[in-house]
Amino acid sequence: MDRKKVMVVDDDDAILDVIRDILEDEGYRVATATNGREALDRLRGDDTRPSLILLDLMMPVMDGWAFRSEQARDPELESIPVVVLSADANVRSKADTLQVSGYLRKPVGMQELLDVLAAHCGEGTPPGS
Amino acid sequence: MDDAIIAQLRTAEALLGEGDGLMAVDPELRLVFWGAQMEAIFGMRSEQVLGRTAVEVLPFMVETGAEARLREALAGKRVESGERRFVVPETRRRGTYEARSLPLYDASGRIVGASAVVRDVTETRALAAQLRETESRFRNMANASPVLLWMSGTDSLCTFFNQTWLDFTGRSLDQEQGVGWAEDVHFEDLPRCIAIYERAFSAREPFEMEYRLRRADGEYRWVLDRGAPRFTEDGSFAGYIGSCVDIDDRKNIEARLRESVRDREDFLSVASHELRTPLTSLLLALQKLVRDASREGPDSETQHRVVRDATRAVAQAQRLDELVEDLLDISRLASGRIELARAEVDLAAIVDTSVERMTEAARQAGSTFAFDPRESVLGRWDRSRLERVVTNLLSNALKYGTGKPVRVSVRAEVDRAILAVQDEGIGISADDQRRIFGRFERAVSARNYSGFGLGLWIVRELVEAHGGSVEVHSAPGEGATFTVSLPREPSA
Repeated sequence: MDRKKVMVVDDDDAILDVIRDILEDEGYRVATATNGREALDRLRGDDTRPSLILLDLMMPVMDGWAFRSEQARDPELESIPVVVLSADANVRSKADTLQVSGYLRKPVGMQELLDVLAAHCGEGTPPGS
Repeated sequence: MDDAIIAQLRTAEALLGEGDGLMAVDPELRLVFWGAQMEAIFGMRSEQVLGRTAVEVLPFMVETGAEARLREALAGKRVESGERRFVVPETRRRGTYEARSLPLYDASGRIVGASAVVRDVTETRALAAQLRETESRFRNMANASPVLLWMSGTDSLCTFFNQTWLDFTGRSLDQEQGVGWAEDVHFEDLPRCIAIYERAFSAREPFEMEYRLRRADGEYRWVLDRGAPRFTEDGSFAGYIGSCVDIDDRKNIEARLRESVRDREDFLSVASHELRTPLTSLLLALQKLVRDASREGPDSETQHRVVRDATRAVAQAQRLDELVEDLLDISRLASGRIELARAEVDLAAIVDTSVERMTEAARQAGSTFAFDPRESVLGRWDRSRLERVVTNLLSNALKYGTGKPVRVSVRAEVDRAILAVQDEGIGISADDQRRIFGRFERAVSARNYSGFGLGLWIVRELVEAHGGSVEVHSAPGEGATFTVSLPREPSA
């Protein structure tokens, strides 16, 4: 597993671009997908698993909830920790029902984003694994 | 007249009801008996009348036919008079009387005279007339009423429907009586209606139910039916009376209202998503710009300016986010539809995070926060709503604090948590203290201070939604202290 690899799933290109730039500056390798379906295809076609998935909830084609249930059914992917990044004000309570390891509310501050990533991709054991 | 017959008449008189007078005549119509009650009715004592003819004493007997009936009795017939209204000459009383005339026999069965029982029925008749009048007044009222009325008896069967009901259903009283009305009720609602009615009926309790009733044009309309037990004057149960109003239009409006509330919720959810999405990349790009500019290249004047301006832009993007949040809160609060997502929450941690997040805003206001989170203050609250309360109070203090330090404290009491935010700014007059928690209110002019004027209103609404309260202590020029008191557990 590549500790410094992150997958970002969001249907907004501007968000994908800026998060990728920020994370790459910090030495992360970043894969992106614009919906849950694309994310699943990419995860299944790639031999290096990311150490974290940053997941938007409201997306076309396959939303964050559907992605989570697909992920839970796939033994290869089931254990990858997920942090939800959503504009929903109740993201925290929704994150609880999604059984993810973290949540960030949009708009998220850069430092907050980096702190959460560091916690999951750092040298220590990432939470939720 | 035979003394034995007189004695019999006295016995008969004693057996008569109160108010019944008894008199007797011989075959020549001369009065031979005049009972005590006759004295009361006709105002003449027996010594004044005995021995005179009945017609002589009561001249109106000719006109009323009473004389003829006495003669028929003398011929061996029993004759009822029916009711007669007349004025008694001696007493001048107008009354209603009925009389019965019978032959008088001696021991050998020979007719020796006739007797007449006179009954004063004036009051009985007046009561009956009054009853008829009351009943017809009730019927007139019932039929003129815009609501549908029904009545049932002690056997729970319906006995009355007003004209409004009959016009509504287009059926006759005969069709509706008993359980006929059940044919008008929608078959899906009927079992429920009968169950409610029977349960209320056996408990003699009022009831209320909604069901669909078929109108004359075949359309089913929702009606609200309210029934109540009826009791007679002596307290005995007499059945039920009920009234129905057509609430179909109201029901439809309610359904449309629910739909529009749902539409609005959907819209708000989409709007919040759409507004925050560009804010997210904007904020991250600006923060990246600050970081890049601080990191790269030689220390130059341009670099300083870029960092300074981008930092300002970051603060404005954060303010924009707060405003988006305000707008969403306001539209939810204004419609009274706020659902709290309660969970175990540490108020001290929330204040700590908010203070941390607003440090840059404080710096720009030339102020600082003083907060020392000594211990956790736990309660079951809605975290994001509580964050709004804290953020709004903090930005309020920065806005009106004239750059002086803002002190924040939290403490736990037995069953409450207390949050206090104290500034040393312009202060608030007593008059303004009453207004500032209202909507679109601010104590100072909008020209000098920006914002919706909704921050404190939102604070109050959210705190009250949690069952808490907020108050302010202040005087002009002496700063202000806002104190929030929150129950730590939701009240049952």
